[in-house]
Amino acid sequence: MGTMDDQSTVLLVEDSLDDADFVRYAFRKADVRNPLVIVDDGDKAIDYLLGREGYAERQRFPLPRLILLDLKLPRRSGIEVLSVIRTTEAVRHTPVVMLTSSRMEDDIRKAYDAGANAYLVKPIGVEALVTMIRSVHDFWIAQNSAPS
Amino acid sequence: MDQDPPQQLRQQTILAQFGELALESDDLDEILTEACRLVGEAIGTDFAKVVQLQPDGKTLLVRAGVGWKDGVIGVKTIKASDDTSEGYALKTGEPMISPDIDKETRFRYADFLIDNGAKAVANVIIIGGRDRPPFGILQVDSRVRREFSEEDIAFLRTYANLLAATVDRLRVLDEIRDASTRLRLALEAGDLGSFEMDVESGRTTGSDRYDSIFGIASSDGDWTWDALQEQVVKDDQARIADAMRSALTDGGELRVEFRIKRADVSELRWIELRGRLDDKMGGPARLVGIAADISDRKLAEQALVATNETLEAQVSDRTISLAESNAQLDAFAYTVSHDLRAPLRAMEGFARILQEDYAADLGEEGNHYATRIVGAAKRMEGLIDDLLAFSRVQRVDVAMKWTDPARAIRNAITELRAAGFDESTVSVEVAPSFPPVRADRTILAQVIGNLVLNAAKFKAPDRSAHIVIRAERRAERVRIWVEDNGIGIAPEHQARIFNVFERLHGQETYPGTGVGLAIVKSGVERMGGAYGVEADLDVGSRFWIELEAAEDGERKGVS
Repeated sequence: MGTMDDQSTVLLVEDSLDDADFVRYAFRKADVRNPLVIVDDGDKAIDYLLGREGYAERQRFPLPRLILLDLKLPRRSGIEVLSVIRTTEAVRHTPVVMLTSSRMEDDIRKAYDAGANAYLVKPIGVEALVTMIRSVHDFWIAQNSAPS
Repeated sequence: MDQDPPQQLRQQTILAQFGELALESDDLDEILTEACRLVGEAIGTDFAKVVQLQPDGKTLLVRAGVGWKDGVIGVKTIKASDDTSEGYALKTGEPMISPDIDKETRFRYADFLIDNGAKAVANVIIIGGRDRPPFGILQVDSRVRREFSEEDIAFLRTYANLLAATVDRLRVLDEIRDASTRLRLALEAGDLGSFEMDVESGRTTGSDRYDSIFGIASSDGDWTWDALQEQVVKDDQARIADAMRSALTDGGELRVEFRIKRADVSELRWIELRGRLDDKMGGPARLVGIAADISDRKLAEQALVATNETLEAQVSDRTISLAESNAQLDAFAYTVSHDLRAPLRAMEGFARILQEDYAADLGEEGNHYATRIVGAAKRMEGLIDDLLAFSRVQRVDVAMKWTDPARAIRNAITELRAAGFDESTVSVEVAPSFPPVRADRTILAQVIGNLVLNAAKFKAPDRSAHIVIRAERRAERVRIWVEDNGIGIAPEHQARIFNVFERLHGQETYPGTGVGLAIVKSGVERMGGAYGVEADLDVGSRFWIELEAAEDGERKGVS
C-alpha cells in the first residue's frame, strides 16, 4: 500500500450521489485505503484546492495526491476546474484523471488540452468500476511519482 | 357584216342598264340572273345562263339563267373538259360559237341543253380577279340556228368583262365583310374594345366596348387622349405618358397597363392598352389598337402573389420550426440516452451490490427481488436503446449509395452471436452473393440486424432455429429474404407486427420491446423501399424487404 501521509488524499469531484457511492464502494472493494474526499460541484472543488470558504483548515482538508474529475458539473465544468488547477502553484502538478460518462471526441481533446493526465469513461457495471479503481490506484498512487 | 344602228344602240343601252344594276346591287344571284335576261335582249337570243367554275376546277355548275325548264339552275353541271364548248372557252379564254349544234363536230353538248331546245350557242369567259381562276362562262342560247356577228361577239366580251368586274367586286366585298366579322367576333370573344386615335389631335374613336371599358357614353367626336389621361390614377399617369411617347417616337408599339377611375363604378379598374402606329397610308398618323379591362386578372395576380408570399412565409416558418424541433429532438435524444440511463444503471448497480455483498442478510426472497430489480433495469435500458434507434432511423439524413447487402448481413450475424445466440441454437445460411442495392448503409445494417435478430428470437421450442438469408432480382428491384423455421405468425396478426410497440407474446416467453420491426418498416420506407412478411403459424416466417437495384456503374468509393 502507498504511504499514508498528508498527500495521500484522493479528491473526487462528482455531482451524482449514485456515482459517488459507486466510487466509494469500489475504493472499499478494491481495498484502496486512501482517504476519499468528495465535492459535488466545480466551485467547491476550486474552493477546496485553494483552501477557501469552509476548506481553509489544511489539516482537515489536505491537498490531494490525486484528483478524479467529472466533466459535466454544476456551476463550473470540469474543464474550468482543470484550468484553475493547472494555474494554481500548489496543485499544478497534481495528477488529474477525468472520470466521466462522455465518450465524445471533443470532450476528450478539450480535457487533454486543459492538462488532464488521463481520461477514463465510467464503465457500465459495478464490477468493472472496481477493476478500474484498482488500476487507477496501482498506477497513479502506488507506482507514479509526482513532484511533492 | 352589216349591223343596223338600232341594235348597236340597244346593246349600248343594255350595257348602261346592267352597269347601273351592278353598282347598286350586292346580291350576286340577282345580278347574274339580270345579266342573263339583259343579254338576250341585246343579242336577240331566247335564253342564257351563267355557269360557275367550282372549287374542284373541273366542274361547271349552272349558277343562274333565264328561259330554262325547272331542274337546271343550281342543279345541272357540265364537265370543264376540252370536248365541251364551255370547257374549251374556259381553257382558251376565247369566245366559242356553235351556229348549229346539230352540225357541231368539235364539242359534245349537254343533254339538258338539247332538251331545252338550244340550236345555237355562244360562250364567253367571265374572268376572275387578279391571280384568281375564271369565275365561269356566260352562255347565250338560241332556239334557232343562227350566226353571231363580230359586233355581237365584241358586245358579249365587253358584257362578260363588266360582269367579271362586278362578280369580283362582290367577292372582295364579301371577303372584307367576312374579315370584319371575324375581327368583331374575336374582339367580342376577347372582351376587347378597339380604338383609333388621331395622333395629331389625340381624338379617339372607339368601339362600343371601348366606351364601356372606360365608362364613357360615346367616344365619337370629342373624346381625346387628354380626357383619357384624366381618368388615370395619379401614380400611373407618368407610366402611360411614357408608354405613349415611346410608341410615337420609337418602334410605334404601345403596350401599357394602368388604373382608371370610372364615373360609373366606385372601385378602380385596371386597363390594358395595346396599339400600333399606322402612318403608311400617307394620311394623318393614327394609333390603332385594343383596350381590355384586366381588373379580374390583376386581382387574381395580386391574390396569387399574396398567396405565394404567405406560402413562402409559412414554408420558411415551418422550415425554421422543423429545424428547431429537430434540434430539440436531438437534445431530447441525448438527454434520454444519458440522463435517463444514469439512474437506471445506478439502480442496477446498487441491486448488484446487494446481491454481491448482502446476500446473506437479504435471504432468499430478498435476493429474488434484487434479481428482479436488475432484470427490470436491463429491460428498460433495452427499451431506451430501441427507442433511440427508432427515433434515429426516422430522423437521420438518408444517404443512398451503391451497397452490397452481404456486408450488412455479416454485421447482423456478428451482432446475433454477440447477443448470445450461438451456433448450437441458431444456424444461419447465407446465399453466396447478393445483387447490389441502392441504400443508406447505416439504415440497411439496422434493418437487416433487426430482421435477423427477430428471426432468431421467435424460435420454436421443439427445434433449433435455422435462418436462411437470400435475395432475388425483381425487375428494377432486389428483394432480400430473411426466412426462419420459428413459431410463425397467424394471418390476422401479420399486418400489425410492423407497428411500433406491437407485441404478440408476453415478456416471459419472448422478451422484447416491440420496436425492432418498426425500425425495419421505418428504415425501409425512408430508403424508398417496400417490406412484408409471409408466414405460417408453427412453420416459420419469411420476412422480405425490397430496395432499388444498383448497377455496377454506380459503384464508387466502396470499401
